[in-house]
Amino acid sequence: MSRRRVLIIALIALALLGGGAYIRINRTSLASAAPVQPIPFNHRVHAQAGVQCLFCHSSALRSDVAGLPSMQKCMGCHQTIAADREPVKTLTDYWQRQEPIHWQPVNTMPDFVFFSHQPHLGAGLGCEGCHGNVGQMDIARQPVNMDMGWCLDCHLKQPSEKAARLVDCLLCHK
Amino acid sequence: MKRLSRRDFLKTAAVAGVGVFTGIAPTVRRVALEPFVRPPEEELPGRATWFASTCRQCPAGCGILVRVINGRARKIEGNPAHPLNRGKLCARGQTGLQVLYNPDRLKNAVRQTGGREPRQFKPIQWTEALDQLVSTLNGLADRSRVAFLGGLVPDHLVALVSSFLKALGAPPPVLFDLHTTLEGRAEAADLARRWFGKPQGQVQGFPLPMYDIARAQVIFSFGANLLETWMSPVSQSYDYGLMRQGQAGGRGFLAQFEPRLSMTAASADKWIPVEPGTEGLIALGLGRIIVEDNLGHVGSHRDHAYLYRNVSVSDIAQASGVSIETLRKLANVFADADRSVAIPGGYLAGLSNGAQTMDTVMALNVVMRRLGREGGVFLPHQVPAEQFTSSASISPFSEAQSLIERMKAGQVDVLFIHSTNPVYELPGWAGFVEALDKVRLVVSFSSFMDETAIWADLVLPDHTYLEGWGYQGVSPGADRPAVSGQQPVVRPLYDTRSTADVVLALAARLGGQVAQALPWSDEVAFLEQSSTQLLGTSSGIYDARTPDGFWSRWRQHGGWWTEKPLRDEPEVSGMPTGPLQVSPAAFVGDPQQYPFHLALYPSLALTDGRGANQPWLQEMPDPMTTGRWNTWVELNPVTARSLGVHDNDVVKVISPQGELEAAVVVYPGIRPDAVAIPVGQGHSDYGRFAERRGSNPLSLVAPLLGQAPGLPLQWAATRVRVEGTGRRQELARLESLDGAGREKLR
Amino acid sequence: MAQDVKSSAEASPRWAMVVDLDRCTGCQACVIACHAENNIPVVGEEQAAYGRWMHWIIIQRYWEGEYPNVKARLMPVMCQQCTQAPCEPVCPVFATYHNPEGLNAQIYNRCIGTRFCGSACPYKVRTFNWFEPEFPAPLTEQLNPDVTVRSRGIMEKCTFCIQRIRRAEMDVKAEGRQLADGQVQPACVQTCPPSALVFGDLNDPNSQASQLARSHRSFRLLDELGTDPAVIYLKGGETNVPG
Repeated sequence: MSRRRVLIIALIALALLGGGAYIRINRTSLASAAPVQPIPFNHRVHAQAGVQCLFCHSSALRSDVAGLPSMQKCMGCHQTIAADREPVKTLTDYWQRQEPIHWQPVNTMPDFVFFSHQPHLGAGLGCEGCHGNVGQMDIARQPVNMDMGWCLDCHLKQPSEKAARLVDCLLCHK
Repeated sequence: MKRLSRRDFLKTAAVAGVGVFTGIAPTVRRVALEPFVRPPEEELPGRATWFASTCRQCPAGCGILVRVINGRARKIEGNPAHPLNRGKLCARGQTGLQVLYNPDRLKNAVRQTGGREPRQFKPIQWTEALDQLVSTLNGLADRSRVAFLGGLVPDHLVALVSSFLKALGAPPPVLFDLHTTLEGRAEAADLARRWFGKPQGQVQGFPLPMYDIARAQVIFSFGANLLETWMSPVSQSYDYGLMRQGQAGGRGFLAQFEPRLSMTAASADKWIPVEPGTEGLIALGLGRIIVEDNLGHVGSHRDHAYLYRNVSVSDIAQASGVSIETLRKLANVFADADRSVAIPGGYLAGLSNGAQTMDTVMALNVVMRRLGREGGVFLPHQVPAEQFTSSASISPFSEAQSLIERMKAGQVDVLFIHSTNPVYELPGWAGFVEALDKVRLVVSFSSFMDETAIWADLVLPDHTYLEGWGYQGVSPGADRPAVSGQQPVVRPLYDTRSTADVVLALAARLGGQVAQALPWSDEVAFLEQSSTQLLGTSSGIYDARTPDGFWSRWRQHGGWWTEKPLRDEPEVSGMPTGPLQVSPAAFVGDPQQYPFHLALYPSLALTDGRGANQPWLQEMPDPMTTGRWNTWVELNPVTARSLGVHDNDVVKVISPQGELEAAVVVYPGIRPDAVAIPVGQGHSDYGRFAERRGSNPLSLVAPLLGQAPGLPLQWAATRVRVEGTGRRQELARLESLDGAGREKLR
Repeated sequence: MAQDVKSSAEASPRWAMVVDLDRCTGCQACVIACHAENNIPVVGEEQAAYGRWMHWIIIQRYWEGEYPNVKARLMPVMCQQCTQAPCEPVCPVFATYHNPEGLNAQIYNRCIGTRFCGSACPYKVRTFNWFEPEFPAPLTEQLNPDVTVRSRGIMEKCTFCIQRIRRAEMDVKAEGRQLADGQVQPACVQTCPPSALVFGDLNDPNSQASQLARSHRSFRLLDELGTDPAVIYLKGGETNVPG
């Protein structure tokens, strides 16, 4: 092989390794920006009003998915509360038409990851640990790129008797 | 490919490199999340809800639990509390999801334009369809000229339709399909009626006898494929497992008497390859030996000696090909056991001496005092509400024939067809298609465009069973009175309508007597009222204080049954007055020209062909040949050698009635003078998975000349010849035809 | 893997399946239940005629003898979850490995489709997705959301219904209980009409699976190869005995 060819191949390899390192180091900033929602739902306002995470995302304690509040739940308050605000008027429109709002997913996992909220909440984890300070977010966004390395960072920190089970591939990939 | 220059290479690498970086984002489909508008009470997002219902893939009526996530049915399991299947479910039951989500389902009511058969269907509104039906029925000069032909119709619909027809003054529904024919269900009911019916009992419809397989030490099955498709295969398989390894006294013994080694015979301790038609002789021979040598521990057989007066064991040995020594051994095995039972199977009904043969088999149970004893013969205890009295309301072939005669004579103006496919299932000479010509209005309720629906003027698709309501008497019975309930597990996917609702709507609009006979607003109201007939019965697994509460519990449990096992001891009221006899079986086809017996059998996956539109069932390997997706002909290795054919050679099978071509499977488990073909393929319609695949062997079945009217369809009485064609066809098989051990079979 | 994690102090079950050949009738209910539970595609007639199959459990049928003393033996065969699995060392990307519960794991998103594991397996129970699986709509509605839908180029095999094991473990943990014997049932075990299949924990000497494994009828397939399978068969009775 000529020296030139070796050099080219080495450069490409370095570029790829560099790319991988870049992703690892910059996990936070690479996380997606806040997706545009049909209604600009403001988490900060609701958190300040005293609404708990589990009030709307009620399945998190008992199911794989945290769930989204039904339209009925939203209207439970917003029949009267802040009914003059624009976003609430849009919401009421949807409700009159009995049409569900198509929310854009914020925190996402690839298809081959089987994540369940229930054991995490059962282990005493708070929502902010993974989802960031949602109570301070206006429009919800994913604060950190939830790749496997990030999950393992926490799983590996567990006491040794749990760690073996928690780093088994079959725990999340079925 | 031209030599890649260095510049091109660098360009490609750069582009690829960029691609690698930008493609790092997680592989996620961009979907939107849709919350509930009004959340259902019982739903926890991400978790399943289970509904109890009843399987309708065969007449048995096993209880099922269906796993529903987010309004979609994901998995069907057996209901552990159900007394028939006790939590287990067969391959066909598991495939129910493919009936519900089949891509070839009819999505709305259609009317055929341009005459029948050209398959030009125009969607119509249900209101329009009902209007047409009402005006046709009102316009009939004589409303007795309405007929209903059904197959596997759920019991609640049978009840409604029967009342409807009665109020119109029309004859009762004819319930006939190929599956029940191949099981010999009507003939089994007749058998029970002949032996155990009260003299003043009903002529039609009698509960089917139950055989206590689980606790038998010795089972002699005369062609009953207990573990495959006959009667309640799941319940029988469960009991078989117990018979083998679940009994305290040791393993049971199963002997299977049939010309072809079926899957049941493969699990048997002894397979006796009987010559077709001589099964009854063998049973006679066994009985004679038992009585003559006074075998068994049930006391004297003197009272039953007359039954076997004219029997000569040596004659029987000669006629049947089973040696006297073997007969003697078998008789001893049967009689020595404290708990033995003889079971008359389905294919016996397809022989000309079927009724007599079944009698001789039942006689063995009577002689050995097996009625009402553990491991013996029972009758189901009736459910204590008239609505649900378990009776096999199956019509014999003769009734189907007389319906066809009436149609031919122009005596039927309106024909309703539900859950049966007579154009496919009946042999051509039965004349069904020709008879349709004389019927003014043909209405099909099929959920799929099958061979019969394409001859209909109106197709008003019923819901598939996972979307529908109903109840089903468990027949043959479980070990206790039971009614299996059916409820929708998902919302109906398409604009289909429950046939029961159609009948009730018709009745309401016709008014008068008909409306009075069917006063319910809809199917659910009818079912609610029916269920509450059992309110207050203390023997049930639950009770309630109000009808609403009872109906709730009914749906929750998936039906009603008693807490404790309860079966009836059959009492012989129809003891033969003279010696038993079995006429020699008559076959169609001169043995010189047609040297082989044609042994048809319902395919385990497709049964009578109804499973052919479900891809899992098509892909399911046949347990004995491992064949799938097509039809084949099973030949004994000696037969194959003499014909000069090997596996996958295409042969032509010719009967006096027709011919078909199929690939050969060299099959060691069949008599050299018989060939076997599974039923189920050969559809010309019925969806992409069923169409243009294999052949329908019913086309070979020939009518028995001089067949007296009123006899069953003799589908096991045809002789055939087999000819090579020189062609080959790669039959889809699970097993490989290469490798060690195949030499013997070539 | 960052650290070498030792086996946990928490008692880990050791899953095993017992197949009672005396009860098995060959009815294929397990085959279809597995298809339904694990999103297994159908290959279609053309591919099937070519010799391809995608079942994770199959009923092997062996003929013995000659007519009329011919026997057919029916035997369900699925991934044997070998403790000394020959498929594990040959995977270049470690997509298959042995997990602490005794399962031979197959991680689909790691698999690159070299098919070395399929060649190495002596039982030939691994199937490869040569083509993109097709589920014509609306058959997609019947897919199980708890199991990955594999794409082309992925090797797959029986997993002892790991999704059911995980679900049961999560449920009992949430309730503060232990797994009871018989609580976890793979799809095939649950549906088997003659109850020929039994699934359980060999680390629990009182489980039904452990008890049956101690039977004098027990044997394992291709034991002489040293694969140490976790599937134990119980010999069936002699069928169609002459005389």
